[in-house]
Amino acid sequence: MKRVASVTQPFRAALSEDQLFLLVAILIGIYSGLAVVGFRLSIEWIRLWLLGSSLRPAPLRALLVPSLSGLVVAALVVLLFPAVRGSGVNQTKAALYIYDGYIAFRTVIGKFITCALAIGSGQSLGPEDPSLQIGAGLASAFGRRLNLPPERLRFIAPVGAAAGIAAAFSSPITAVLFVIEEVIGRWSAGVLGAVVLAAVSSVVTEQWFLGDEPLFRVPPYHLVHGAELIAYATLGVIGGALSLAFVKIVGVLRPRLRALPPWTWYVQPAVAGLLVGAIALRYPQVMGAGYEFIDRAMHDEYGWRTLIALCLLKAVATTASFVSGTPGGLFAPTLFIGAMLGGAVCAVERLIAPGITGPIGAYVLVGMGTLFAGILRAPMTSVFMIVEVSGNYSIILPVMISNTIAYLLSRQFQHHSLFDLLSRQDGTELPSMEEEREEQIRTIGVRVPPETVVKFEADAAAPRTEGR
Amino acid sequence: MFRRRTVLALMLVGVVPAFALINTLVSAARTSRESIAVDWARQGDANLAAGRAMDAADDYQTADEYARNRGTHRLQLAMALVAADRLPEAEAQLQTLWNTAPGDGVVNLQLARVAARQLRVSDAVRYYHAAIDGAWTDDAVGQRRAARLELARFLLERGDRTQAQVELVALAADPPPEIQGQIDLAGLLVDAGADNRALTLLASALRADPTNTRAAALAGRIDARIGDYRDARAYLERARRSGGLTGDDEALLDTVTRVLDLDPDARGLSSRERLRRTVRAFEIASAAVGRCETDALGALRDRRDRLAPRVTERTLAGDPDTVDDTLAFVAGALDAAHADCGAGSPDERALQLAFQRRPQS
Repeated sequence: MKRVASVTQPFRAALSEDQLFLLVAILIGIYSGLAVVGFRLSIEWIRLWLLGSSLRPAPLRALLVPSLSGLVVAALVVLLFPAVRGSGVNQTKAALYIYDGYIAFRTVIGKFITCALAIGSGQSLGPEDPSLQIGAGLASAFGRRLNLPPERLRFIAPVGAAAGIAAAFSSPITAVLFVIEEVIGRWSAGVLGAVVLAAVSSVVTEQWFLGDEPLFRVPPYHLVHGAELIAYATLGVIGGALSLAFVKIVGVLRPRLRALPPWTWYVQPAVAGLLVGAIALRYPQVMGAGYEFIDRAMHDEYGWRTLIALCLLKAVATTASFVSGTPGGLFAPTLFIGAMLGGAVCAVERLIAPGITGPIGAYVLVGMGTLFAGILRAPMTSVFMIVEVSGNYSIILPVMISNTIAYLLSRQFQHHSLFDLLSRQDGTELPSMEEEREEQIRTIGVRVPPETVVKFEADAAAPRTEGR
Repeated sequence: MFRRRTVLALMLVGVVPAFALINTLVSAARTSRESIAVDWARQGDANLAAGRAMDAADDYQTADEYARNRGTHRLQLAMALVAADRLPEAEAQLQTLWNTAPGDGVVNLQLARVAARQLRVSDAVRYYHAAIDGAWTDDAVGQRRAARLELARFLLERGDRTQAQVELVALAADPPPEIQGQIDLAGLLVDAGADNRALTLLASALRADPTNTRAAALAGRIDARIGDYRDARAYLERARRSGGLTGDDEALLDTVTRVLDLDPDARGLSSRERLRRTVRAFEIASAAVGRCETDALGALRDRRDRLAPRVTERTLAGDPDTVDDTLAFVAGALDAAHADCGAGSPDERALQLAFQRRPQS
């Protein structure tokens, strides 16, 4: 016994607070990965049970299922889980900046159940942002159980958020970037290691069960002609305009619907579900996250008219689902809208200049990144997400061009990003990551005058200041 | 501190039952997905068999959705899309499969077919060659041979006989084991202009199956075309004995027999027989210029009249120059009559064929 104690003693002593935090991050990643796998299975089973296995549900089911389950979801949200409304990104930010890392475990359960039901029954929302909140909520619960010190507890939610979104996208780099860019807002060495470990362990867990197949099977990409970049720039302009319209409409409709009498909160998701179902009678692709249809668009299955119709109708369906207070994420619908827009630009370009038009899969991918940059305003994430999801680095040039244009356009005409707008509407004063980044740049500008450069030399003990 | 260690230990230990639980759920989901995928694929097969390629494509798409890590349904989907003439979609699906398995024989063959239907010749040839060199799960030799045969047919359709011949000669070096396959290959070799290769292949086929009517008739036709009338008659008679000839082949046999009977230059003839045939040829040629009363043949008619008294077996036996004159007249008369007045009697046509083999004087 004495001998065992003498062996474990150094180990215990060696496990400092920092190392414990990293170990907890790995465990959070594993549990988040498991939770996200369970979440995805739940969505799939609910979909199979309620809508059947066909990708084109029977008309009656398409109409009734989203609306009736909307009633159930609304009752659950209003009566049992009021904190689960919305996507989950702002709630995670609120946990970091306002509630010292606290997210009620009840919220995790509520998010899981209501989102699985809403998305599985065909509401036009996605599972990624809820996965982010589920991960953050699990992390928060673990952190509290472990009695982590307050400064650690605050950062545990973003660590879980990274794990959740990494498992949902099966993309660790995207997850880390998004959490740094949109939730934490700065590169902090103290938390970066934990975020990376959580994201990686969560993706490993998710892939253990669901395989390492990429989210999309992307056909080979190559730039056919330099002039094609003009089409990508056009995609950026149209994508930026569409993003702007989407954010503005959500920004206008959401507070108005929230201001309606409380009894309407019980029926708003049902009405949204009815609208989605009505659209689905002709275009069943708008139901749920719609990844399988992005894959179809990527494989040139739709003509330009269908692509434009899907782009606009998905935007309508998502707006209805989201502003009605139905819990669910905006990532997948954003990617869907962008994918269809990209496909439409390619299809039209093929009509005008068939000789210089590349494969449609590339435009679909770039479109996804464009809308992500325009609506969610996370430019770095939008670029790397496409590269990571496609597994094709050569696509980075059109992605950067299109995303940057969409991002700048969106910023020019809409001061606040969607998440900032939503938090302001909810009366939660969360820091704007965009403004924080700009503030940092301004601060750096003040601290280091451009006229001087501080140069550290290996053989000199003190820094030497050089004039320019 | 104690509580933290306990919670940490519980978290570590809890991973095991949590993994077990999710593993059970994932296994159940996988089984369910597989079953759904199989059902949809079956429906796709039925629709494809019934000629409803569009419906089949939808079914395979759904099947693929439930079995994402299996390329089978995607390949079926691509084939249904090809059948539905939705070629760009089919190509996109196949390109995705190709991306993961660029050496797959089936995928390359399907891509080749899509490119061939879109008349993208160089792409089609590239994919056909990739299919020929690619990996096949079963009967690799047969599949590669079939792919090469398909490529050769495609090239012949495009009029590229040279390239087609290259592919067919490669096939002839290792021909299909079944006789019908060898005969088909011989037919393609003929189309590509490789008559001798085709004859070698047919001779081999006839050694294996001496009573094969198709092989014998084809060999007879080839020999007749290249002017080897003796072998042509042998093959065609063999075909007739084995199972009968078509009307065209009967006519060909008749012509070949006439050629062999009329040709004054045939090998192994006695002098007397050669002279007899020369006289007979003169008679046929005289009749030819007689039936064709155009002014252009006036000189030939004059020449006929000058030669006529000397063209007897006895006269010709002692006058080799007149034999040469007579045969030159016959060749010129047959050609001119044919050119000005069309085909004449069967003997006239047969003699013309026989004279086409003579060296030009």
